[in-house]
Amino acid sequence: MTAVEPVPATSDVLLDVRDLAVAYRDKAGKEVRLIDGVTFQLRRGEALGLAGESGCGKTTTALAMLGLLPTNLYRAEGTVDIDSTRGVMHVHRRTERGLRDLRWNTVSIVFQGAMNALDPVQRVSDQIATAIRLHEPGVDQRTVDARIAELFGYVGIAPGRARQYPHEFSGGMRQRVMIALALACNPELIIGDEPTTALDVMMQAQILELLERLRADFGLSMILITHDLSVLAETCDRVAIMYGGEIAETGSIAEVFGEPQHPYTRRLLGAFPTVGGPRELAPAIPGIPPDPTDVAEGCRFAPRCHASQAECVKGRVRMRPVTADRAARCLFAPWPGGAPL
Amino acid sequence: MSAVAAPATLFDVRGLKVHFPVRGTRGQMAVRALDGVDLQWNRGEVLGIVGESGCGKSTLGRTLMGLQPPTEGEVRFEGSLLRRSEMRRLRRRIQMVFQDPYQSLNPRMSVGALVQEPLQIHRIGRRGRERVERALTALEGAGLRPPERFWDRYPHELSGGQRQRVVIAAALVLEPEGLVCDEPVSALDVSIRAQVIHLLMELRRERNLGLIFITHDVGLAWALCDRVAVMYLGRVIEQGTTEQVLADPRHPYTQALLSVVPSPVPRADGERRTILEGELPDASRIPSGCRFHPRCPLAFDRCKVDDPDELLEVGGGHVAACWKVGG
Repeated sequence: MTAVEPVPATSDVLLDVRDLAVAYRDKAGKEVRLIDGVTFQLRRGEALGLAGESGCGKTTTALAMLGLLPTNLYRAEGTVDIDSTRGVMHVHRRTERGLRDLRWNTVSIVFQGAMNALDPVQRVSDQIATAIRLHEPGVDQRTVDARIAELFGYVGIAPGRARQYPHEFSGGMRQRVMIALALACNPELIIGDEPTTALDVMMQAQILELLERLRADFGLSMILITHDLSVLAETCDRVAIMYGGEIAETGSIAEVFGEPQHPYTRRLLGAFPTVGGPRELAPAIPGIPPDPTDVAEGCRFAPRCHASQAECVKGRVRMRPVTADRAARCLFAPWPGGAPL
Repeated sequence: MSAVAAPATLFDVRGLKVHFPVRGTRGQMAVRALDGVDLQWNRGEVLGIVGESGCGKSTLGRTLMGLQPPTEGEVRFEGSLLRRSEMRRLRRRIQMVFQDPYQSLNPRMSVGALVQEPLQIHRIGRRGRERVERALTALEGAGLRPPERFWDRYPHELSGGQRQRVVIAAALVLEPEGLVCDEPVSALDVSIRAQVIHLLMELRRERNLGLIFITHDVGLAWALCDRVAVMYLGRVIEQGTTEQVLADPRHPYTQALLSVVPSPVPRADGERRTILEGELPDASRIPSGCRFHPRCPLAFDRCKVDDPDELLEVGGGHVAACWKVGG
């Protein structure tokens, strides 16, 4: 077991991911792991942020939770369990049919590019109706219509617009449609994959406010995937920072952002200056993110790390507990007062 | 270059308008991308142009570079009006860096050829050897070291950060006095973004390079810029030093914008966000009076009819286009 996070009382945990690894085979038949040893828990009603740069494995992690991995990828190791109101679901053991029952009903996902995620030649009402009918067979048209009107009202779109096509909506409105779609079958967990990245600040604020309201009104749990740490600070309770396919650090927002325990988190945070804060940028992280086909021994961040020592490149670095609810994948954690800048 | 007391102001923009005609349902209309912009950019200064998409900030950058002819108003470069025939002179001194480095580099040209091209266009360096040397120096200055290693590569063989460095090298090879950067790091990953920004700031320190930094990222503007201009629907609605505009905003739009910018420092519970309703109006249907009044929490009767088209002085060079300012 690599898990060092204490396991909270079982009834409290909605999603339990353990040692998850997703891989593909290269031309020579060698296994290339895109994510490895990913372990985290999501409590009921909690919002967890999954953060990191592109290629760090955050979207792969999300897709694995829904059984939506592209066909060339497979789960190499680990488990994904969901303790839903409809019973415990072992996502990793489910067949395609079982996964269909899981998606929308228990877990749904809001993708970044709403224009790509919505079918351009179907009215948005029809797309929502399809989802409802697929998951509630035998439901009558009147119930479907009423549900769509209710969903639209909730996300702040005039119900009369339901019969329009995706291109008739602006970017922000399309993202609202996506959220209505995700809510169609009353899921317990919503995964947002960069849901506001393509939007302007004001629109982003509107969407984030809507997501917050969802959590408060329906007790939804949420996983928010983004590269923008400041968005996480506004919306999430806890955060997992990913680097090179592994979780580098996890903990509450206040703790991780206040006293980052991984040198990577420290530098990453420094790249988001705040109005009113210091008028300078933290030193940049040299080099480029690691290539999954060529994983170095030892800490994956070591080649770029400003605090690395000789022992960092000897053997795999495991998560080390910092406090009861916090861990960091750094040999020197816990750093008193946080990792050095 | 002879130094005959060069004027302190690089660009002086007055009443700049760029209108694009469109055929609407009710006949001929115009998208007013820029609708009366006043702006100064001083030598060696980092000027931030901040706003949401559709506010006209990119059109402004393009118009300054002469890539877009103005419909009305004037752009003065070092005190004199820019004529079409003088674009070569302008672009020798001021260069532009766009957001997407992949689209700004010809995929069929090697790095060496890309960086030498501006020298050929401006007929600098008679002998090939001289151009090669200047190009190598520029690559090195842009942090591509050793430059020989990148010389024969093509854009697709480079990472996003390296590509943006090539773009910067091609701009630097002319030894310009200023760069107009339109979202230069928005397409880059976080850790790479910091590298490119550090490079730009280093160039600024070492060569007294002026920068126009067009961005939607207010935090970045706070960290990098000397002065900031905030744009809304084709107009600069507030301008001043970075501290004046971002730490003490006076225009209600700037105030709202700053209140919703997410911050990695968790905000205090009492701190309020002003989330504006609706979306940025269509630039072909700019509201009457103050263009911000339909979304403004402070609007009063005058705002509906009277356009604050002159920036009003707040104090110390800090100006804002709002009737509530000073009153």
